[in-house]
Amino acid sequence: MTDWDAYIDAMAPAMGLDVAEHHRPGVRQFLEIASSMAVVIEAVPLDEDALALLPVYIPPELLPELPSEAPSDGAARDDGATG
Amino acid sequence: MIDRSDPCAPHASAIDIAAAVGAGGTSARAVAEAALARIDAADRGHEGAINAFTDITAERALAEAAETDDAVAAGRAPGPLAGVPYAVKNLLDIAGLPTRAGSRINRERRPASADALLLQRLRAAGAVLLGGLNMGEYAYDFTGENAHDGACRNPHDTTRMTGGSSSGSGAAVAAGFVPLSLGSDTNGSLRVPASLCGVFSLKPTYGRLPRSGSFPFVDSLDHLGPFARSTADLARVYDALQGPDPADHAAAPRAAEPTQHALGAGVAGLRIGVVGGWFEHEACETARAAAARVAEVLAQEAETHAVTLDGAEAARAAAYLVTNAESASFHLDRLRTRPDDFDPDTRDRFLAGAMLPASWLVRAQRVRRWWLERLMAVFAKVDLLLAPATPVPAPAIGQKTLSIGGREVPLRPSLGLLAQPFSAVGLPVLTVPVFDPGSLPIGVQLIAAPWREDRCLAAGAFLEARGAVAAHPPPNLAAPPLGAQGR
Repeated sequence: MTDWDAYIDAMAPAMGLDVAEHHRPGVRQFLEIASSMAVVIEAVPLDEDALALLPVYIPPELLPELPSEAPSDGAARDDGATG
Repeated sequence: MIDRSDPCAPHASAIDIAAAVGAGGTSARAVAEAALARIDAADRGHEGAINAFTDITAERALAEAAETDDAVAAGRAPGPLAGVPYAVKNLLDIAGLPTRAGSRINRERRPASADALLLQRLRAAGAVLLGGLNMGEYAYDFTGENAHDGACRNPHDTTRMTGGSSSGSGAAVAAGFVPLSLGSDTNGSLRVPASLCGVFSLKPTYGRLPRSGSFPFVDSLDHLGPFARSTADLARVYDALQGPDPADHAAAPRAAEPTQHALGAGVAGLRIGVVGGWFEHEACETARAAAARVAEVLAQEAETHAVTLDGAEAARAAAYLVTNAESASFHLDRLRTRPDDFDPDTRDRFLAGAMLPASWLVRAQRVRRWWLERLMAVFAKVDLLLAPATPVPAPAIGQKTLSIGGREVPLRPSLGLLAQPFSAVGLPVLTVPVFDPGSLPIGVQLIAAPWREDRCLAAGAFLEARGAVAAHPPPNLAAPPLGAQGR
């Protein structure tokens, strides 16, 4: 049984958060809900030898630089990092 | 009886308005003025007002209408949405207004310098913007309640919720203020309001519609999409919205794939999976009956069979954790510096999300991958899935818990639980309204494999043609406000 008040007391300062007394009942409730969700995903029979996350991306091709056009608002703010 | 033939009437279709304006039978200005009069009469200023709009851009609307009328007068093509009024969830940039995203904090921001890309595309199609719409704070909401702007009220029963977070987008279309609106969907925010307000919505495939110029909620899960009162209107606006944009890193580099031509394709030969198991268990009798009614009509021409999507509950849990963690991280500085400026109903959930163990988030992303693979295997055997959109019809405003599957659960995180398993992996979903006139609406989801919005829309059009689904006007709106008709 997790002591969510103790968890909040430890984590909030670590994250730079001030969880006021009137926030605490709600925060505790939502940590309990998140914990119940974690129990559900822990039960999924994943391949323990595979690490495959959905947001993993394919690096894009470097596109050739286009010929410069008349400066726009965006171009005026360009820091040159896109080349 | 609702007069649908008058383009200035409350429930005129977008297609009829565009045809009338394009042919010079009525002016875009007259259509805009009629819509503005309806909003003025029913959206604010009295008890039970709908409260769908947070900003009304009347001056801009009349200027855009004049542009369209000038184009028609000059013989130029006015666009497929000529003179069609629409409004957008207030997380989309509207030039000249701060993008409030349902929050108090954001309304201190500088006004947007340009419209969001999807608004630019709708203007190019001839549509006329009437304003910004109410929403749950920072889109973290399924109810339509908002501590800063007030609850948005369901046009079918103003004591009840619209659903959220695209609350104003669902209500404005149901109430007959506009035939089209735009909203967003991270976990169900296009589908829950469509279900509770009795209108259609299309949540396209993740990455289909660029989010450029919208305020983020959860990068991994955010989608934009339209609401309408028919599949034909929905396809018309969806086709105008499509196309890639490199400014949104999630936007797929795919050319537009128009759907309007496929609306009459029907469902003959399609294999349709009627989702049971957890989805039935988590839905009330009304929601189950709506799904059964849709399945029965589809079975007149398609092959239907029962499907149990084992793992849906885990997908929903994964979506919950990804949402909680990503959104809280995004708002961390605001949570540190001004927590009491948040809506109390979202603040405590964000604060909890800022303190979740990282291992839960990583596991959730692994489960999403696992779930996507399972669903792709299902779609090798079926062309569409159907499931209830919400576990219940609209709850009362202020209600805090739901009774689902014999359990009493917190309402806020639960109203979208049947929607979350599909948005968790970005599948396209059409929500269709299934109800009798005078009763509370409820919606059913038609879900396809990625990039097959055309199949969802064709099935929706089939159901509409068979009379199984329809966006019936709310009974109290059968008589439009004085001065709002027949201009």
